[in-house]
Amino acid sequence: MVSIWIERLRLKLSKRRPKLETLDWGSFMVFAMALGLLLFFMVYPIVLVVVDAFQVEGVFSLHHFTVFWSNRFYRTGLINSLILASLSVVATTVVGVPLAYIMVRYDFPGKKPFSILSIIPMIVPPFVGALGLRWVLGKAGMVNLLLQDFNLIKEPIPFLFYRIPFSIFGTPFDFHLGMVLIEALHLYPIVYLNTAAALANIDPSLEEQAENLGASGFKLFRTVTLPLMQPGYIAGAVLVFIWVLTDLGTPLIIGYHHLIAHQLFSVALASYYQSPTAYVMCVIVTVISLSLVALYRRYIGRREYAKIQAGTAVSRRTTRIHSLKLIVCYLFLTLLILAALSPHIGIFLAAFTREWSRTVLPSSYTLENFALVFSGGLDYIKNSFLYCSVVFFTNVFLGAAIGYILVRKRIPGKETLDYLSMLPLAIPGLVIGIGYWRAWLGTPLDPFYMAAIVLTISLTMRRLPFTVRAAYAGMLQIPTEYEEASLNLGAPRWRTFLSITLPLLLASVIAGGILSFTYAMLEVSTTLILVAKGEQATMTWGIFHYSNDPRHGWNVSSAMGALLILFVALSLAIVSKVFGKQMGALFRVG
Amino acid sequence: MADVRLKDLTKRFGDVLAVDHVNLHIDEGELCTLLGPSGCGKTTTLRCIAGFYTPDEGEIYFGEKLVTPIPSFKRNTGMVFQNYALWPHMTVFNNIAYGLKIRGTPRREMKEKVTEVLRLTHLEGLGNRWPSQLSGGQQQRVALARALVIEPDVLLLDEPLSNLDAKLRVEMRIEIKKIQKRLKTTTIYVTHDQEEALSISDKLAVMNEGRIQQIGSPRQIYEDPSNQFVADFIGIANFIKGSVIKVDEKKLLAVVETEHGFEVEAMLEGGITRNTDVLVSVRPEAVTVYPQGQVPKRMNQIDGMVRLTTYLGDVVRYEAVTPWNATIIVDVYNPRHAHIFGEKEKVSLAFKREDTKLIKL
Repeated sequence: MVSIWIERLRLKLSKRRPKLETLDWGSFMVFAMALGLLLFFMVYPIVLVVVDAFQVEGVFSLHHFTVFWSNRFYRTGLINSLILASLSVVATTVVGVPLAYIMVRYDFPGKKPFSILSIIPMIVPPFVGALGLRWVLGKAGMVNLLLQDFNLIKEPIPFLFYRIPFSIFGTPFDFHLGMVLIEALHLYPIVYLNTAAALANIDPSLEEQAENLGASGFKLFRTVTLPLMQPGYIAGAVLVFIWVLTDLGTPLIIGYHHLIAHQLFSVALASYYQSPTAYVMCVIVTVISLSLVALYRRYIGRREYAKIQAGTAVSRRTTRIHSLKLIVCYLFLTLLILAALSPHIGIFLAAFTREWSRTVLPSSYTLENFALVFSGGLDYIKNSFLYCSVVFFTNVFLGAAIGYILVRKRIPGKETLDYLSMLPLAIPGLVIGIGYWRAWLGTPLDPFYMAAIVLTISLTMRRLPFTVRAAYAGMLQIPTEYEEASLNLGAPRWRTFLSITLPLLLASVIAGGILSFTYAMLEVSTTLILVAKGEQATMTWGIFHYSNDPRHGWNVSSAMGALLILFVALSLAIVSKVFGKQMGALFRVG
Repeated sequence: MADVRLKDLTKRFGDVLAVDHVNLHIDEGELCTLLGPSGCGKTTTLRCIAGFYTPDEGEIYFGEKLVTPIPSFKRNTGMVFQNYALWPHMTVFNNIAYGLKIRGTPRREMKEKVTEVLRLTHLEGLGNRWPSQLSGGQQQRVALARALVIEPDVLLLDEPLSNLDAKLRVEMRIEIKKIQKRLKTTTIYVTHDQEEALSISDKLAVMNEGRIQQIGSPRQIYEDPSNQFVADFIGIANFIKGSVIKVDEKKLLAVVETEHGFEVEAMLEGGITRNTDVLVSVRPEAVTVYPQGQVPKRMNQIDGMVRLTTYLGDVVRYEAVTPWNATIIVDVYNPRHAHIFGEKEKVSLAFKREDTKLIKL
């Protein structure tokens, strides 16, 4: 999203302001509709939750907050979540920043395959990865068995469950290194891609100027390069922090209860989604993530100058590396990719077997899990595709309309629409889910009966920023003169929009729409909260459902996970084809 | 076809007065240029005529028809944009045919018209190309063809040649003029290039700060500029500041005294009397350089010193300074047999009374 804000800021600063058209009825109707949808389905439920968190029997009160804070269990959860999120940021930084530097600044044989492999974790959400990692790094996983076979260890190492407990004033806390490992393995590409983008966008003349003045090596890096790539890095770090803080899937799969997301889910579930304590937790999580995003926006505003000026000749500053440096690079990349791919290996192996215990590799392979998925779980797959297709079409339409209005029209209240259409990025899915129960329980939109509709609406709202961003960027590429030429030749506004604007905009909006579709497929927290009945559930819901089955549940959910990975990889491949860019460019969610 | 009249046209952007009570009448079939520096309001005026801006005050008429309340897409103007604005998702043919399609022209007639306009603009055989496969000059022609094919009442050209290289620019402006003369379409042409404006126009309107400074034929504008801005903006003008000390109405003579006591004879203008502060404007090609003291009789002369000599082949351009430190530019054409003065040489700068133009301060 950051790229949009930057673009917008640049537009404000540049002398060539876009020629805005005055309001016409058609665009006003679309504008009012988009604003209405966002207000009704995003803002209203959250406002209800916030209001309820702050009142007792209709009177303003901080009572629920004191209840929350006086409960040792919840206190632990909140602090643990903050610790976990911070540690994950540290871990993704340690991996992501050097990786970005290597990929942008160094040139070596095999760079391309490495750069593709290194972003593969992005196509699996952490909870599916956690599922796969249990087969690889679990107590009876491949690595432990291998180490035991070679008599290197006696007791298995609890990679995924390693916790360092400590306590302050009698309240226990954890450094859950296993969770950090899982989150970091999946989220480092966010830090990597954002940092790499910032690094690649640094105007080479800025560094050349510094060299010209005598700076070199580490001094150059510290005084010029580092400050210039900082905004990109921070964008990535903020995203990782929010992601981990609000991740519900991974703690559920790992069975780690002492996190705010997990507690929020349990409390809400137990109280039929009407607990004031859950509302308090919602407020806390939302405030944290909103303020991080707001802080970041202010920060990036001041750093805008770091970008390459349009029209500057860019020669990438890459160095070809040799000998020791090259070996270190290869070692780092190989280890990283082995680790990053291990969840996928685990998932795919487990998906094709039922007999896998006490052996490094499965002893026999079968398609039984897939047969089960396609018979009993067919509804999940159908539902996922149905809901996400609706999300796709709605968001392509809404995104194109909102992007068009934001760039071209002069309408009072436009800033509100601008802000609201980006808001879903900063609002955790958990909160939306709880908000929907709070708002629609007992109404015709009751999630208990209408989960299919309510879930689709929530997914549409949450993934809307993808298409709005794509449309916004696309509109900036279309000169106003294209539309004026059409008006001039006699085509009314609607015809101009249909025959000129829309065809030119469509490629980018569809790419954004496929991203919307993909990330709707991967959605976990809202889905788990909103869907109560299996027949209305989706694939991610199904993965959790199967994993609860003590017999071969893990294998069946791995099969479902493997399918999900395939679908996601396929749709992302389509996007990168449509975009004609490398996949990496798509993930600059920052 | 129609004549175009602007009556007190005014357009504001916030506090900025972009177009300030502009009155202009363009005859049917005429090519009129709006000329001025960037930010003078010429493009805003054109966009008001096209209907992209709604004027704050004033009216625009095409013939007897008031078009101010008519939206752009019903005005039947053809516009050529500075960046051509060719739609990248349509072939050349479809770009050109677009306006005809909108008008519901039958297929066969449409094809004939497009083929004809392709021939007119020398684009035969390029109909199936995509805009990105064309050179800058070809794109320019497509933009022109697209605007012409709808047989517009008024043709609007917004700096159409500014993206072309110098040589092509000259070729294209001749071609535009030929096509315009042939079709006799009323045309409004916006440019900041004075040479382009002089060469192409039937009528020129020089604009500055939202106001029209002078309207006239290219010759009137160049030879008889009505104020300092016009004299300075069109071509190069030397200004000699002074005060009128003698007026002879019969001989149309005004004698101007400059600093350091030089007396310069100039052509009298209406409204100038004794003691009026004036500028004597004289073009570089009207000034001649002589060795000091060798100026023929009956010519004005001022002392000068050559500060810079630039040899350009067909011209030698001198930059000379007067005793009161004003710069005078002198162009000497065909210098093959002339003496070329060197820098720091003391000279006399001479010019005829008939070549002067008095501007009231």
